[in-house]
Amino acid sequence: MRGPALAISLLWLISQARAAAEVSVHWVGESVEARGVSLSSSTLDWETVFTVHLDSVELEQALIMPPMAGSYTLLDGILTFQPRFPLQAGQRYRASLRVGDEEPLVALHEVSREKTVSTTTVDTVYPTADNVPENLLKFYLHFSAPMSRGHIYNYIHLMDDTGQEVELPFLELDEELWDREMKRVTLFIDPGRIKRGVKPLEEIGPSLVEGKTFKLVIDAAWEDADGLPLAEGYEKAFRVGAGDRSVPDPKSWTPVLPDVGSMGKLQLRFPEPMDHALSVRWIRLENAKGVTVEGAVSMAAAEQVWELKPEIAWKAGDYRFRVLSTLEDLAGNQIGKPFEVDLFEEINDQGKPKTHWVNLPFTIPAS
Amino acid sequence: MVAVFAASILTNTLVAADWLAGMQEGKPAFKTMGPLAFGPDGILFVGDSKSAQVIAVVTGDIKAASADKPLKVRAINEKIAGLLGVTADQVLIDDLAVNPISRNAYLAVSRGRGPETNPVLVKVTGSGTPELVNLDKVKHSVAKLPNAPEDKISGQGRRARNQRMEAITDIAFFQDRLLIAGLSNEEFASKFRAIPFPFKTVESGTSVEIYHGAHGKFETRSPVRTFVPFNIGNEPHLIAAYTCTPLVQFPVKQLKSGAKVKGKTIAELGNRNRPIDMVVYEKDGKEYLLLANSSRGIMKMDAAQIDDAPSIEAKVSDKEGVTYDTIEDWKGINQLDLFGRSQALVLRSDGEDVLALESLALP
Repeated sequence: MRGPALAISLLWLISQARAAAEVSVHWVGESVEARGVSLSSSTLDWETVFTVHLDSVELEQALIMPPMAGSYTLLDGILTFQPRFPLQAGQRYRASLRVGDEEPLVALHEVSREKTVSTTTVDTVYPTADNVPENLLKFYLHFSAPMSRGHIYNYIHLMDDTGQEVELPFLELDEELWDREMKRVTLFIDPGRIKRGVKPLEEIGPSLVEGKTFKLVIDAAWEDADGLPLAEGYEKAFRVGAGDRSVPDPKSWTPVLPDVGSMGKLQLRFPEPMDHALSVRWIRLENAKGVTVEGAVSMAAAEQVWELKPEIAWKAGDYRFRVLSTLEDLAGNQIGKPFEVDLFEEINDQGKPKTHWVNLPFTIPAS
Repeated sequence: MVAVFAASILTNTLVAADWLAGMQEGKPAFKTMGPLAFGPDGILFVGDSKSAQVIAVVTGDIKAASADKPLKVRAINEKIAGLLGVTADQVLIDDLAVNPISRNAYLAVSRGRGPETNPVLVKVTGSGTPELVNLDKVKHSVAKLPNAPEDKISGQGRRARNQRMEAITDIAFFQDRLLIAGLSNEEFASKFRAIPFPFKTVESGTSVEIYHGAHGKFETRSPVRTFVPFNIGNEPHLIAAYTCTPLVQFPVKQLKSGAKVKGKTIAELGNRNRPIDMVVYEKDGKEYLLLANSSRGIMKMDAAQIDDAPSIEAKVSDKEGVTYDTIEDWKGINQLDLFGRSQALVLRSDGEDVLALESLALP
C-alpha cells in the first residue's frame, strides 16, 4: 500500500469527524458515498478505509478478501465509490468505512431481482426421433431462454433401461459448446464411446447399445442466465437401433411441391432423420436465377423433412436445392464421406474435392 | 494453456523481430476471454471464442522475476469473486498463463455465466493478491479467425440466424506464429490454424486437417484438445492431445494453408479421460512432457521416448505406446503452466467449489 502517512492522517481526520458525528455512509443508486470526509487529496489508498463487499462475506473475512474493484472520487467532502461492475441481482452489499480499531461505519444495499420465479424450460432436444442409431453423434438441447454455463455436465444424465446412469457418455468440454444466445448447447457423444465396426470397445463398451432403451435426463437444478433453476426437469426416452454407417444420398431425397400461387410449404423429404442444425444451415432453395427463395425454414417429421414457408406465393418455374456436402445424418456421416473411414487412401488423394455443393434441380409446374 | 521453455527446448522467438508492428493503442473489445498464451516480450495472446478472434495484448509486464519462489493462494476463486463483487458461483476461471519473464500469473475470468458476461483479465503477483489488469489503454492487435467461406453462410434467406460458433480450445505461440486449435458446436471436425505474428491481414491464417490413427482407423474428426510445440531431433513438432486422448505428433513445417497433415499417433492414453493441459520442461539434463488429465491424473513422459516412438495404427485396447508415470499427488488439477524452471503453477480443487492457485515442484 502506498502513502501510509497520508492514510494515517486520513484516518485521524475521519476519526475526528466521526467523533463529532459528522461522517455518514449512504448508497446512491449503485454508488456509495461517505460524507463528512474532509480531505482534498485523491492520491490516497482509499481501499484501506472505505470498501464494498458482499454482505455474505463476514467482517473478519473481509479483512483478507479483496474488496470490490471500483473508482474513488473525493469532492466537497463527499468520497464516492463507483463499483467497476454492475451489482449482482439478489445480493446484498455492505459498504464499510473503517476508522482505526473502532467498529466500521456500515451501509447496506440490497439489489432486487427482477425475476424471481423460474420459467425457463427445455424446449426441444434434437434428434426428436424415438429411434436413433447406435452410433448417434450428438444431441442439441434447446432452451426457452438463455442459460448459464459452467459445470453443465453435472445436470445431464444418460440412463440405461435398468435405471443405471451411463458413466461419462458425453465429451465433456470446459468450453461448453453454446450458441451466441446461450439458448442451445451441443452435446457430443464421446467418440471413444461410439461403437465402431462390429466389435464393441474393449474397456467399457459403448454409451448406446442396439435394441435397448435409454433416457436422457436434464435436472431442473440447471440455472438459467438469471440464476434461476429450470421450471422443471426434462426426460426423453429413445430406443437405440442399428448403427448407421452409410452416407446420405441426395438422390434418395424427394421434393414435395406446393401449389403455384399458394403460400404452402415446400418440403424436401429424406429417408432418414438428418442433423437439425446442419440441415437448417446447409440446405438452401434457389430459383432459376440462382437467387435464394426467402422464407422460414424448419425441420419436421423427426428431422426427416426440411421445409420452407415462403414470404410470397409460389411461382411456376425451375428451382434447385443446393446442399453442402458436409451435411450430416445423425451418425455424423456426410454426403460422400462416412464418419468412420479409413483415410490412408484419401489422404494421398489431393485432387478429391473436400467440401462441395450438391445441386438438386426440380420444377414447379404451371398448373 | 501450453508453455514452452524457450531457451532450452526450442528457439521460440525470432531474433530482433518487431513484435509491435501494426499494433494500436486503445481498449480491445472482448466478448469472452481464454485460452491464454504468452508470446515474446510480455505479449499475451487472448482467445475470444465468441468474437472468433485472438487479441495480442502488450502487458508491459517485463520485469524479470528474481527467484523461484513458491506461491499458494487459497480460495483464489472466492478472492476474485470479492474483487468482482459477485458470489463465487458467478466466477469461472477459463484459463491460466504464467508470464515467463515476470512469473506473474494471468487468469482469464468470466464474471457471470450467462450470455451477457464481463470477461476480465486477472493478474496474481508473488504477493498472492489478485488484481484486475486494466485494458482500457493497451497496445494490441487482433487476428480474426479465418473462416472457410461456407462458415459465413447462416442458412436460408435473410432471416437466418447463425447459431454456429467455434470454441477456441487451445493456443500457443511458436517462433513467429500463433497456433490455434478449435472446435465447432455443429460439425465435429478438427480445425487447426497457424497465423503469422505480428498479425498482418485478416485472412492470413492457415487451416490444416490433421489425420491421425485412432481406434484402428485413420481419421480427422476428433478435435485437438491441447497441444505443445516440441523439438524432435532438431525438427520442430507439435504434440497434440485429442479429446479421447490419443497423443499425436506432427511436424510444424507441414502446417501450410489447405494442407492435409498426417500425424503420428504415439500413445493412446485411455478411455474416460480428457486431456487438459500440457507443458514441456527440462530437469537434470532430460526433457519431459507433463500432461494434465481429467481423470487419469498427471502423466509424465520422458521426451526421449517420444523422439523415436513407433506409430500406433492398429486398434488398441486402452493404453498403448509411449509409457508414462502417473504423478499421484497432483490431484484435481484444472489448469497447468510452467512457473520458472523448477515449478509448475496449477489451479486445483481445494475443497468443494474452492480453487487454489498453487506452485508445485516439477516431478
